[in-house]
Amino acid sequence: MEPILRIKGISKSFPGVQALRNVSLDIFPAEVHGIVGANGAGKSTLMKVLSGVIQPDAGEIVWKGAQVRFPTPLAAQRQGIAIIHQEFSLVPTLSVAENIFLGRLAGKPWKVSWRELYDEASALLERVGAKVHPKTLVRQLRIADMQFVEIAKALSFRAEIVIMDEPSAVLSGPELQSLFRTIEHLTQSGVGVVYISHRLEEITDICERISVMRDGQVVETFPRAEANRERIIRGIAGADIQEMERRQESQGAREVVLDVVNLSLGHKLTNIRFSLRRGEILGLAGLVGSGRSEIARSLFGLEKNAVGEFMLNNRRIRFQQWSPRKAIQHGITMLPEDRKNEGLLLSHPMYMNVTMTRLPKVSRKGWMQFRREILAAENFVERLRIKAPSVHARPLTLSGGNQQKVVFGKCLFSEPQVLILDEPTRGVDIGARQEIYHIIRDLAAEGKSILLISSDWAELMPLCDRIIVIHEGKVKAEFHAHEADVEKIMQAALN
Amino acid sequence: MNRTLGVGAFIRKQRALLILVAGFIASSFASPYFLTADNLLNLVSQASINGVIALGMTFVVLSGELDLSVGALNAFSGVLVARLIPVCGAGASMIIAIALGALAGVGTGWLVARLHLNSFVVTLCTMFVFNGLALLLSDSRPVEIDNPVLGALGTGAVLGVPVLIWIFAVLCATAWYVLRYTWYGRNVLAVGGGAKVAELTGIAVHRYKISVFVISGVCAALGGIMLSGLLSSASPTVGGSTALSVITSVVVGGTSLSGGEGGILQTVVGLFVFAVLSNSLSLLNVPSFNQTIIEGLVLVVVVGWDYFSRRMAALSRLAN
Repeated sequence: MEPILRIKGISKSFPGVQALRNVSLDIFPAEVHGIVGANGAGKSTLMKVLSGVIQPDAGEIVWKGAQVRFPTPLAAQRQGIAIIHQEFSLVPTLSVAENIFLGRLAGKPWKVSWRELYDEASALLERVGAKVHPKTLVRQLRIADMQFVEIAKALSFRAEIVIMDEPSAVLSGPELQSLFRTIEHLTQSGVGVVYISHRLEEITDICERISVMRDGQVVETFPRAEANRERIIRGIAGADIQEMERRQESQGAREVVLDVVNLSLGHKLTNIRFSLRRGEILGLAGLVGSGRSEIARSLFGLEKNAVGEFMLNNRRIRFQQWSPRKAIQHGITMLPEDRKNEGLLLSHPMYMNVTMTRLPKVSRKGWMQFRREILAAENFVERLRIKAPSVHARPLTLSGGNQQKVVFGKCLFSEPQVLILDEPTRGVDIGARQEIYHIIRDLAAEGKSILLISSDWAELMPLCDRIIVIHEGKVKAEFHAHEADVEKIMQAALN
Repeated sequence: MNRTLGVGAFIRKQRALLILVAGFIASSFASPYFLTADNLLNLVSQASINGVIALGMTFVVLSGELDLSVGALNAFSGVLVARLIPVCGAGASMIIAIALGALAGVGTGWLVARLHLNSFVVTLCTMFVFNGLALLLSDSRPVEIDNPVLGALGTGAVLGVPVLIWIFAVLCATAWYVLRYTWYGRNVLAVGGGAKVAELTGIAVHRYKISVFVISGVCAALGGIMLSGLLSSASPTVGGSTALSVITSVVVGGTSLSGGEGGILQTVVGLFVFAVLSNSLSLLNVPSFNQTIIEGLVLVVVVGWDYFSRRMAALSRLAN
């Protein structure tokens, strides 16, 4: 059988990152093709190229034997490639049928033919195997049903390939089973499915062929018969994963600064406990959605529903009464994951961003002292080697790495004892990454305690003294730096 | 020293200021009477009442919110003072009116900051409430005021300059200073620039949100007192368009409606763009309906110009 879609030698780079290198892949009609890889391996970029969201730098796409270009998502959709993103693109206030045929309602421009619309929507929903009424408003649906609506919408374009980007991340149990049934329906009617997931059991269960991506490359593709867990994990992690030299086993018994006695948060976290010593770097590993970010947010007082307590310098503190303000006053500060929306005032000068965590340090009785403020900010620019024309520069004009350093400066300005770093190297290029590693190590050497969250497990190992792995809201495993490796972390995080 | 708030950058960024200067020069050629001391003092003192309200509004807009209730509050406090003067004298009634303005601000601010209601909607509601209260207190008729203190406030002069202008000037300087030189002002900018960022930085966002509505309420009440002093009477319907024209002044000056960017100098410029325009149109005997049309068109030009220059700046940044 001929592949319906062939990708040949696709490459794509972004400033500072080679996202895809010479990727080739064949997709056949009526097959489920699984794609696995760590966060940042290039899966999403590849899917964006396939669906016309971004254009490749090199390589070609062959669709049904002819070379094609997809300048826009609409072009790809018209050809028959539909993508279902992790974030749904549905209008919550419209009905299911209106969403499926958004912009293409049946009838005439001056008179929508509602009956026809609902009939067609019903037919599509049936084909997907969804028990959803086409008149229901999307905002009243469960997440799983929204996904069915997305799939029905894809089919309404006569899609011949449906790309699903981690469709199972939001599903569990029966909902997951019905997703699998839908996928079966699709393949029986000849539609090819590209299925991206972190959950290896699913991949080996439902996919006929599996491609493993790492560092922007497809490292191997094999049929289900040859697939096993070990092989996939080895493929994802790669053999050569250590670049940075590992941290020396640390410091013997230093005093515990932060001791989480228990922490629970709805369905997301159950009975988390761990401790953090002075000058220690503790890594929090786990998949997106495992609860690691919620742990950080709870410690910083951002999760209002967190229950339990922790000891900070032998003081008992309850999560219910915690807030970012109190956290900062007590010496805990957090570098948020989303530095553009949560970390920085992008269009306000850098010095203002740095000093805002503790204005009393640069003012007297409520009056700002600009000279002290500028000096203090300049001090951080120098110490963190921020490349900027002056402390008056607005973060908007800086590169991702330098922006991140400004956030570091801001965190450090409040003189914290415990630093929570949520994905500190996200969107930061390789060079600046190394500098940020050095900053993190220097801080630990100064005696600050660091809780480090990263999706890039290869960077956790050399940086951290200890790593705990979170899986479905529980502490699944704990490793000392010298005994951890990516495969072990992956084993714990995946299952 | 401080470039974003400094005078140099202010002029460079200020399109409204260019328009103000151009309008000023054009007006002085168009009418020989424009550049006389009498006319200018008259112009400023007429602008000073909305000016005081605009100062309060600047804090609200900088923090990323809106206050539509200022006009109604303005009318209400005028009527309240007019009613209270026969009972407890000028001093006490002014204090009561201002305190009620502050209290209204606390209420609005609490609803906005604690319950996360939209300030547009909340202040729309309080606008109706104060409108109704003003009508109730006045029996829907203008109330005469015959009080020497209020008269002096509205029409008196010190060193040849009307008291209204003095009040406005002193408040302007104070507001400017607070925004530029205090933690408070800095944190208002931070809250408006990014409430989430400010919260994660340990700033008590809700307190700042409440406080800006208090400032706005106090300014609106004070504006009402000044207006009833000027007119020697208080009308319950006087504030109908106040909120919108005040917000317009703030925005035309260059303070961003999404919060965080702008300041007092901008507001003053925006205020006087319209003051000069309407003054010179009156001097030229342009009928008032036509005046509104012209003002509307000028507004479109200023806002459009601002939008395009920002787009250009953003594009050139992307190109680099």
